[in-house]
Amino acid sequence: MPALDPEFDAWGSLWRGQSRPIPHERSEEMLEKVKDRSRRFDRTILWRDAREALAGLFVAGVWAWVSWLAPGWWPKIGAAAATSCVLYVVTRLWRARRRHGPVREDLPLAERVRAEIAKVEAQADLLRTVRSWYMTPLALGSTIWLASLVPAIVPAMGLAPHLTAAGIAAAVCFSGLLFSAVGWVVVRLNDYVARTQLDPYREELQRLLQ
Amino acid sequence: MNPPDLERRFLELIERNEARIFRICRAWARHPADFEDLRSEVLLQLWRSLSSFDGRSAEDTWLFRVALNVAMLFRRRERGRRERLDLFRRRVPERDAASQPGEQVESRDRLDRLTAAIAGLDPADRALVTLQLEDLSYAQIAEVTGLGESHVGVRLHRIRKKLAQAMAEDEEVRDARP
Repeated sequence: MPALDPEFDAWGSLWRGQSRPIPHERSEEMLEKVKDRSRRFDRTILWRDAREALAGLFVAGVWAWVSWLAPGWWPKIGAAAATSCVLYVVTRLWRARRRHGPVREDLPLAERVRAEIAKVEAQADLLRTVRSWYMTPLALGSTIWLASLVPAIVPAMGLAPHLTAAGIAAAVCFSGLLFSAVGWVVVRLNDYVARTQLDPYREELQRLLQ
Repeated sequence: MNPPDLERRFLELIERNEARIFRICRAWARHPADFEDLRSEVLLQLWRSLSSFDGRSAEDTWLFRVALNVAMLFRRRERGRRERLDLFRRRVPERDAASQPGEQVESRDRLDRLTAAIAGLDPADRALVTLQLEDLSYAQIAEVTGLGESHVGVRLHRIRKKLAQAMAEDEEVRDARP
């Protein structure tokens, strides 16, 4: 290594000579605290993943149950489609988490930052494409199920004589508008989070590599 | 490695490197509460990473990688949680200057100025200069950071100049005070 200027050498000695101003804790206490935090960390991750999977499986289970009880083949097929859509969403989330899970902390700094950037980009991508991988499959499944129920429900409830084509069209339009409005809000919220939180963080990480 | 061996190895590692961990946390924490949080996080990640330490890199290199990776990303996660105040000088425990010999007070003062100047650097520059202050060679710094050795040299030359300038400016401000 080339010789440094004496001033920097003096700074180095000063830097390395500083001592800890606060009292030491006993090694055994420190180890217990670290192990305890590590266990809590593992539990938090496990609980988060379990909660997410259980919520998804519960919704999928409800749809599967609906499919089982549904009158006739078309409602059964509709509810089965909804079950598949929920399972697709759960799998997609699980795969994203596996692919960009915890990054090793003992990587060289530049590599660690690049890994963090990849993780942030994947999160932002997931939020920005929520329309295609989350909303569309769920909306598709529910629509198939609802549409398949109409032919069975309308005659069963004795509504057939009162329903006009215009009334059905108005109800369909109203439901479509309502679902679109909710979807629009969800998409905008996700986009807002990606834009205001993840993009600045990614830019900041990229600056570290310059 | 069985758990008692891992625990013993961890304790030995921390004992050997406690001062280093302290200095890294001091260079990266802005607030006294951040300091303890950061130190706990560094210890946690060292513990969690130790079982996968395969000895392919030197222990020093491995330790600096873990500690600096945690420190660099910790500040980003913590930011916004606290007010962005330049608390550095205030966070250094006030000591009774009268009870310390003049040489110690002067050395303490120089150290505070150096730490404040380091805190004013960009995070990547701060990581590089911290490693050089820890007396690592360019080759070791390159191994820790993943940058090329010549790139490290060029960059450190520039950072040292920046640091000297910041220290000189600080001195001028102090001299100008009534």
